[in-house]
Amino acid sequence: MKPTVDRFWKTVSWLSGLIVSASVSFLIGFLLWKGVHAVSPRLFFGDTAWQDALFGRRPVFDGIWPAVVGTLSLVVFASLIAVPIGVAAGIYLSEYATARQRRWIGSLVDLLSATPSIVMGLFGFTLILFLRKTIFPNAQTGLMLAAGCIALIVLPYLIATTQAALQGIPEESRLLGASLGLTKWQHIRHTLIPLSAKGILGGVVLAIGRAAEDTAVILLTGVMARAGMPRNLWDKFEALPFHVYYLAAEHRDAAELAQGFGTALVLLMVTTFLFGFSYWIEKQAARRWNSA
Amino acid sequence: MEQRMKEDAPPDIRIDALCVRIGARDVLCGIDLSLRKGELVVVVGPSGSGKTTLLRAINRLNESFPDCTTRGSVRMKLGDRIVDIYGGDLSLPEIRRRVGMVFQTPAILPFSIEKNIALPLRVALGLKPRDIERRMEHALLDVGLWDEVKDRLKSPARMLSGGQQQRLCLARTIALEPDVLLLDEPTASLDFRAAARIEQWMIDHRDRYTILAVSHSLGQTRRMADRVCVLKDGRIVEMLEREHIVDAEGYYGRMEKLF
Repeated sequence: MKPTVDRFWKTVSWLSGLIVSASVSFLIGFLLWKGVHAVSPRLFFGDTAWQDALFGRRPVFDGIWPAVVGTLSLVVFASLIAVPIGVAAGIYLSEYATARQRRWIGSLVDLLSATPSIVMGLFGFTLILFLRKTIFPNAQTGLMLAAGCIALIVLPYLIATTQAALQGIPEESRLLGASLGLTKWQHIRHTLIPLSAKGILGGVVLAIGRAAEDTAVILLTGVMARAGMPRNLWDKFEALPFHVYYLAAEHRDAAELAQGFGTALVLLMVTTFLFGFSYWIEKQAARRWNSA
Repeated sequence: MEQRMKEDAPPDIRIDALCVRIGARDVLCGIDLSLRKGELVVVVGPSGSGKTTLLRAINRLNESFPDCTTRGSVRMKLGDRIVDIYGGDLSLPEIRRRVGMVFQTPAILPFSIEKNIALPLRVALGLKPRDIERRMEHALLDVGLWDEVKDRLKSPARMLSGGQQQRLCLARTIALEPDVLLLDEPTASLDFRAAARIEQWMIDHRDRYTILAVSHSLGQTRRMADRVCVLKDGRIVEMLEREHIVDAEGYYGRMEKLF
């Protein structure tokens, strides 16, 4: 009886692993098959020379370069807002909050994570309407508003992973800082954060992925087809996932559809690059921590 | 006569009517205990008897748990002054620097060997690099680790063996120059040879620090203790003096009954 049950669950877990790997391989393979021939300098820069486009000397009309820049800026600004707040909130919940506060704030964080992204988009849109009617008559949707709303969407990931990483530290290591005469903050800063850095990085990666792929929030808070490069932080912008969505819905011919697949492939590469970048930052931090 | 003088001098640590309650459970109750330099006191007892809590009551580490309340007093001799550990005479970080602690499993930080020792010196004491280096070398020499690590101070501490890691933790604690050492089963996770080294270290240093150790091994306790404190259900049920300890048959017989 026992060996049969054992073998059954072994097979189930083995199959689950296989299904995940197969799906991912299939997805990437499909994207490559449909899109790789569309990935060319032309896809990025249209008819504009790449040197002119990179240095912003000439606008790009028929390429996805503005969308690449838009998505990168969106992710960077959203992370700049969300990572410090999310990590700090995770530290608060794990190290400072009483059991009661943890319960209350924890359920609010859960509520935030359950908010559909279109609702978050509506929130940003309504905020702009409110600002227009009150103190900023010229307020309009744009890059920073979208980044702020995306930051709200990814906050729960950061809070939850930071909190979990800190609470996963074994008791004696948690007591270590205090036993060596460090104050609570010194202990958090110099021992707990380095000990949980890997877990926190996991949250950052999740947040980046989520920020890069979101379409619903930015749809209502500032993304625009053919907006070109954003001229400032408050300007309309383009983004890769929105471009994919736009092309998928409104393509006029097979070439445009292929462009859509190519764009999706580029989005995948951009997120991979961002993951690599955050991994590199963690490595640098670890190296700095390791040397005295 | 000399023994008499020693008894009359105020102890280095004096615990009176100590009770510790964690949640709804009285973990320690009515503990009276005096500790002196030169006399290695070892606490033994079944698991859950409150040994670790007793150690953590002396450096007030129990307060890291939110639902813990402590009553009674712990007083420490500082020069010719007696300070009340729970009286607010010293700040918490100050108490913990004077009362050093080593845990059961080697609690190394995910840093280099060097930084494991340097971090508390720099952060908690604010020492200059030159003083940090001096103290580090002293501490590593003291625990017999210097020759083993002096050429690879920058390599990660997790590369060391369990015994070396535990000696590193010991070095990190004594680099803070404490007066009292609380050693919570420091050899429990080590092999026989590594354990013997730390055991010998404790015996050799009992004149320099006021040491209170917990041990899981009756044999080890017998080898190194000057006094054995038997704890059961949060109370001291027996104090064995040296003459009771040397008599092997009586010692083991007594322990058999107490556990």
